[in-house]
Order: sequence, then structure tokens, then C-alpha cells
Amino acid sequence: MSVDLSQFHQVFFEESHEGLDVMESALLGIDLANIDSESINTIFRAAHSIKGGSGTFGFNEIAEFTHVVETLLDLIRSDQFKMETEQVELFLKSVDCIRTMINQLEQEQAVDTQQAGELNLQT
Amino acid sequence: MATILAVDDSASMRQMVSFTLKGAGFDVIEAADGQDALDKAKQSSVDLVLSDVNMPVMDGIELVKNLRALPNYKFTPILMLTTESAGDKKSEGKNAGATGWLVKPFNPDQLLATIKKVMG
Repeated sequence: MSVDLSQFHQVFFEESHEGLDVMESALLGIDLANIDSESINTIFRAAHSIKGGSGTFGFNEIAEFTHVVETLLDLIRSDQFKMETEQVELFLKSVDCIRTMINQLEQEQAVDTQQAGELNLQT
Repeated sequence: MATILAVDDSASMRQMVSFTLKGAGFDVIEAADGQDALDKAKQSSVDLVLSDVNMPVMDGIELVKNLRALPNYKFTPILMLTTESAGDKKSEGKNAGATGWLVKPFNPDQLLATIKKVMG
């Protein structure tokens, strides 16, 4: 059985934009002195969904980059890494970066991975 | 006709799974999170549950625990959809009573092959 996955792309783009908006507002609302674990979970879930969808629909550049973001979020979520201003800024830049890549896909352009490569998200 | 409950908070994943399963002749009930799935499972007779793990409101692990506590769902096959990185979630899900796993990303053919294997 052959299923044309391109019929689901538009829904994926739309939910990814919603997820990125959720990540962005949660990041902007974070109180570093008193981090709410539900905010981190919300950010993690949005990144996780984008990674899962992009992998499924063959958008590997986004899947790979979002995987790195998700891994760092998971470490923060499990208290193995501390969230500081630097990380918040890095995650906000990552959101912009993923948004740009999604926009490029929507406009059927080649995905530019340079911006993603320049963000040092390794722990 | 077997009925499958497809649970995922991602609309695109739900649509892909549902389209694939319907194309293979299954009846599909969609749910957007664990609580939604639990409500729908109670209202209908479901032959197999296919659930994402990371979801808001109620996650996949809690869903499995809740389903296994219901007499009608003690032995119903439950497949979890997860990513390779979620090793500890796998054992957590297994302990909760999940039947098996399908690792994301998967394509429609892999999905159907796994379901056919589980449903015998």
C-alpha cells in the first residue's frame, strides 16, 4: 500500500508553527529564579512533536536539529542541566531557526542549515 | 471489522495514521490525548490501541495504566509510538502493560506490518 505523505504536510506546517509559538511564549515567560516544571514540559513536548513529525514526513534537517534541542531540554527537564539566561536565548534562537526552516519548506525552497549549525547547543 | 483507537496530540500524525489504517480496512477512532482516548475507549469497543507517549493532559503511560484497570481492556493490544531516544519510557510503558512499540519515525508500511503482527 502506498500512501502519499505530502497530503499531510500542510497540517504538519501549521501545527509546527503553533508549537513554535507555544515554545516561544513559554520561554519568554520563564522565571529563572523559580522554574515551573510544567513550562519546561510544554516546551519539550512542542519540540518533541516537531521532531517526530519532521522525521515521519522526511524533513530530516529539521528532525536532526530539533533532536539536539529536545535532548538539551530533556536534560533540563530531568534536572541534569541548569536553565540559565544563556540557554533561554539559545532556545529562542533555535525556535527562530526552526521557524525559518519550516517557512523554507512551505515555500518549497531548499532548507538552509547554516543558521542551525552555528547555534552551539551541545552540552 | 477491527476498530483501532489512534492517540496522538499531533494532528498530522493522527491524520497519517488514520488514513493508513482506513486504507487497510480498519475502523479508526482518533483521540488527541490520553484522557480523550480513555473517554472514547469507555464509550466504544476497541480492538487495538495505538498511542503516542508524550502528550498533554494525560500521557501515553498513564493511558496504558488506566486502560489496563478497565475489565474490557485488560488484554487489548496496546502499541506505543515512541522515539529511539526514549529508552526509559519503553520499560515504563512495558511495566504499565503496553504490548509493544513502534519506533518513530515510521512509514505507513511499517505501521501496517506491526499492527498485522500484533493482531495475528
